[in-house]
Formats: sequence, C-alpha cells, structure tokens
Amino acid sequence: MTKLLQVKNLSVNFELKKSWFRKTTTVHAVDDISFDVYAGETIGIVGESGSGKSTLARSIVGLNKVTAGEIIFDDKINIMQATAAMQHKLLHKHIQYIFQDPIAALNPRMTVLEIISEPLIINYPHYSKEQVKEKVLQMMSVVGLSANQLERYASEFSGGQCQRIGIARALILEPKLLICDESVSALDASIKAQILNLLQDLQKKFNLTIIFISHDLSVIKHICDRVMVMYLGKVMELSSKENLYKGAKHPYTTALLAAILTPNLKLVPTKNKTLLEGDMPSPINPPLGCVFSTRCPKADSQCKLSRPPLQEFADGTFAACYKIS
Amino acid sequence: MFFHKNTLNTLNQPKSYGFWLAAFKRFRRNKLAMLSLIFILSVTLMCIFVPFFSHYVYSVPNFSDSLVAPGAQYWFGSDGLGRDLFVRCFIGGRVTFEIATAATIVVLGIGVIYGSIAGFMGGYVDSIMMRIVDILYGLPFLFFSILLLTLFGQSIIISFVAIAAISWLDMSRVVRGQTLSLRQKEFVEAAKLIGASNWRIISKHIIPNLIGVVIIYAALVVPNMIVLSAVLSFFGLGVMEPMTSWGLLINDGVQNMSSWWLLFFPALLMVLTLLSFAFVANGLRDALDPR
Repeated sequence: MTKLLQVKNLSVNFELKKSWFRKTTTVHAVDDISFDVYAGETIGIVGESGSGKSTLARSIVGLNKVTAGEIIFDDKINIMQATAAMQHKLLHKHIQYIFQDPIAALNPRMTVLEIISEPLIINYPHYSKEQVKEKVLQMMSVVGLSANQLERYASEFSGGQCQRIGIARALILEPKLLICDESVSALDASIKAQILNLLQDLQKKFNLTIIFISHDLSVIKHICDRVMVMYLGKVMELSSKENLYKGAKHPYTTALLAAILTPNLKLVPTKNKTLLEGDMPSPINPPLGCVFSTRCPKADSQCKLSRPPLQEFADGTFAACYKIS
Repeated sequence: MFFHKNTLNTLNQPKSYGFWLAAFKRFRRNKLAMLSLIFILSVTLMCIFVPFFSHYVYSVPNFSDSLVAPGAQYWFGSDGLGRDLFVRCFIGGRVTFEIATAATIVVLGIGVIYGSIAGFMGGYVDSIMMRIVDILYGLPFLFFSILLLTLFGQSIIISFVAIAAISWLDMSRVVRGQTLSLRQKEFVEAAKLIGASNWRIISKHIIPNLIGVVIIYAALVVPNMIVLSAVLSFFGLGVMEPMTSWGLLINDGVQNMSSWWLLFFPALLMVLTLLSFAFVANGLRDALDPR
C-alpha cells in the first residue's frame, strides 16, 4: 500500500506567556508522534479531550505552527518545507478539513452557492460562472442537498445539513485526503449515522483517504480501518480496528473501551472492567515516565521513571507500554 | 383545504428569509425606532425639497419684515434681515446633513478597513497600528478641527472630510475588537484552508460580518458630526453667511433671545434629529444583534 501521508517525529508546543516577569511555560500539545496514513484507508484518532488529536490534525493542514518534525505528503512533498505557493497548490487542493461545529464553519452572510463555490473561484479562477454553478449543483446532489437550497443562508439549515454543506465545500476541490475533526460529535444520533454513511459513500466514490478524529469509540468502530489512540500528546496504541476491538493491548485503550456506553454488552470485554479515575495530567508538566502512569492500574516504578517506546507486536499492533506480555 | 393558500405556496417554493429581512422585521416591531426613522427621513426630504418649493429664498433679505413672529406669513418667523426662518432651517439642515454624511462615510471607510486589517493581521502589525491610533487620540480634537477648518476654510465639505479623517479612531477600535473575535471563528479558518488570500478573507468573510456593528456605530457617528458642525458654526467657523447651518442658526438665536423663535425652531429640529438618531441606533442594535 502506498503511503499518502507520513508524519515523522511531529511535536507541537505552545508557549504560554504568563506575565513579563515570570518564565514562559510550554504546553506540549503533541509530543514526538510518528505515523503513516495509507492511501484509501480511514484512520481514526481517539483520545480524551486535551490529548492533542485536534492539534495534530490542525498541524497537518497548517492551521498550527509545528515545533519539530516532518509531514510528508504523497511521498515527495514535505509540507513543512513547502513554499507558500506550493502550499497553496498542495494543501488546498489535496488536503481538506471538516470542522467540528458545522454551523460555525459556515459564514452566516453567504449563501450555500457562495460557500460551496468559493474553493473553485479561488483555485480555478478561469472557470466560468456557469461551470462553477454546474459543479456546485453536482456536488450538492452528491452530498444530499437539493438544488432549490442554492440561494439560502447557512443560518436556515439544521446542523446535519450544515455539515453536508461543509462536506460539499471540502470535496469540491476533489482532495485526496480528508480530515474530519470531531465532525459528527455535534450532531444527533440519527443525523450522525446519516453523515457517517455519507462519508463512507463519498470515500468510495472519490477514492478518499480519511483521518477521522473522535472521542467516540463506537463511531470509530463504524468507519475506521485503523485506530490510533492518543493520550497527552503521545501515541499509546496504533492497531487495526479488528485487533483493537478484539483485545486492546494498552491499558489506556482497555479503559477507553470499558467506558463505551452501549446497549450491546457483548461489545465490551466485561472482565477486568476498570474505569479510569482522576484527570489527565497537565501538558505543561507531563509525567517523567509513561504519560499514562499517573492513572494506569498496572503502573510500577519502571513506568514512572522511563517512557516506554512504541513497539510492534506479533499481530502488527503498535503499543507503548512495558506491561504487555 | 387544510392549508391556507399562502402556506402551500411557501411549501412549494421555499423562500429565503435573508438576514436583512429578518432584521428589518425585528426593527419594525420597535415603534420608537420606526417613528424616529420616519422623522429622520421626512426631515431629510424636507431639507431637499423645501428650498425648491418655498416662495421665499433663504438668502434674500426683506428689511420691512424684520423679526416677524411665527404665523401664517412666516411659519417659523423671520430673522433680523427679514428672511424666512422655515426655509433657512431646512437649507441649514441640508448643509448639516451633507457635512454629517460626508464625514460619516469617511469615518466608516477608514475605520472599517484600518480596524479590520489590524485585527486580522494581529501581532506586530496590530500593535503598531493601534499605537498610531493611541497617538492620534492624544491630539486635542477641537483645536485640531479649528486648525483644519482654517486651512481648508473655502470648502466646508472638504474640511469636514479632513475632520472625519481624524475621528475614525473609535470606529477602528470597535471594528478591531470585533475582528479579533471573528478571526477565531471556524469559517475564517475554513476560508484559509481553501486558499483564500488575506484580502479575500477580510473583504468576504470579516467585513460582511461586521456590518451589524458598523451600521449601529454609524448611526451614532452621524449625530456626533452634526453636533461637531454645530459647535464649529457656533464659533463662527466653517459655514459663511448667507449660507447657514443649524449651528449658525442657533448662534443667531442665542444673540436675539428676545425673538424666541430664532432659537426655538432650529434647536428643536436639531434636538429631535439627534434624539431620533439615538433611537434608530438603539433599534438597529436590537435588530441586527439579537441576543
């Protein structure tokens, strides 16, 4: 399989300046993360709030400054080193982003036509008005919007429909990689399912690769091929969906799976069901050893003193834990 | 039939309730603001048409009719030179409105562009641009206006444009503040991600979303400019006889207190106009920023 996106040792730090007299503190939002995204797959990124999922996604599209590391797209183009002109061509045509809050992501003073056609007008200025409108109408029918909604404003739509508009805007440039940042978290359960199915259909139709960020493991199970579990800016586990839901390696993943609310009890391994207590430590002062050691039921002195590396296991799963036999 | 005919029509052809229509509906519900708007519009219309249709000319003296009290002949009375105060009030209103409109347009233009650039760019650009505003704030405003009026004394409009050019400071601050919150919004980030240039983001995404605030603020700038023009005319700067403005008319009235109408009518017109602008601004705020 070809690697569409390679992330190598990516770190994103935010400097917090408290006052003129105090030292600036650093938030390690994403800390030394490496992973590959293969063409055509859907990779899920899960974790609690504050685990750095969104920061990671935002750095891939350039909404955040990256402190260290490389992001390589399509095996040849390093996003970090790309010039402004190249970024323009590459990022906007090939990588698109779908936001968490579907309503806030649409300009309330623009009609649906203006919103969906804007990427075309910017990136293909030679298109005639009719061409643009035709493409917009095509895209609208693909995402399930009707043509008579063309002249309406975003405020007149429900969240689910706004998300469809957002998807249409992202896909009209026919990108290769789509990043969905908690794109269904703000929607009702039934609408959520509709949008997820739509994304799956669109993936087949446009041959998309999707990075899907969520804190909801049942959503991830529905849509993803591989899952990356993050905690405090680090990767805890990276495995195929089957391996993950059959039996997670990392104690954090086990705890996350135990926390799924589901009417189907078979889904959850009922043995050793441990729910996590306490909060995530501050990313300003991450623990010295394993970042999860403060809440881990299996942690001992080794975990508290040194950080476990991400290692590959026999079934192809990667996990960062000393306590996996 | 269960449906009213109109209901069926709306079902067949979904009609877009744009932002402006909804805002106008909210505005119309505010009776005081609506009344004030009607008052402002009718004063404006009278300023335009009264001098055309009255058989008195504002500049021609008629010494036999000096200081006639209001009545059938002169509705608002006449002044010391026997000129009809009714016509003079509206010709003065014309000048006052012209000045206020020109000044407000300049204030809007500079304030919105300056403020949105500062707010959107942020960082050093923002700091430098806002420090410039702070320095301009330090200028003694009235002194500066008088200086500009003596420099550009020949044309009132030009001099007021010059004055407006130093009164956009508040506007730019208001706009900058709004822009700072707008640029965090996800739709601005979305625009960045589809490759929109900074100028496109400012002109297509930031400024259209500022319009509400800007209109409200403009409705407050207009009366400010009216007051300023009146203050300066009161000092004998700007408008020259026989042309007049509300400030000049009030000045005349103050000097002829025994003929009460000379002070009463121009002052009443001006006070009502200023009040109306305040009510309209209030109504606009409620209509455009429903919270």
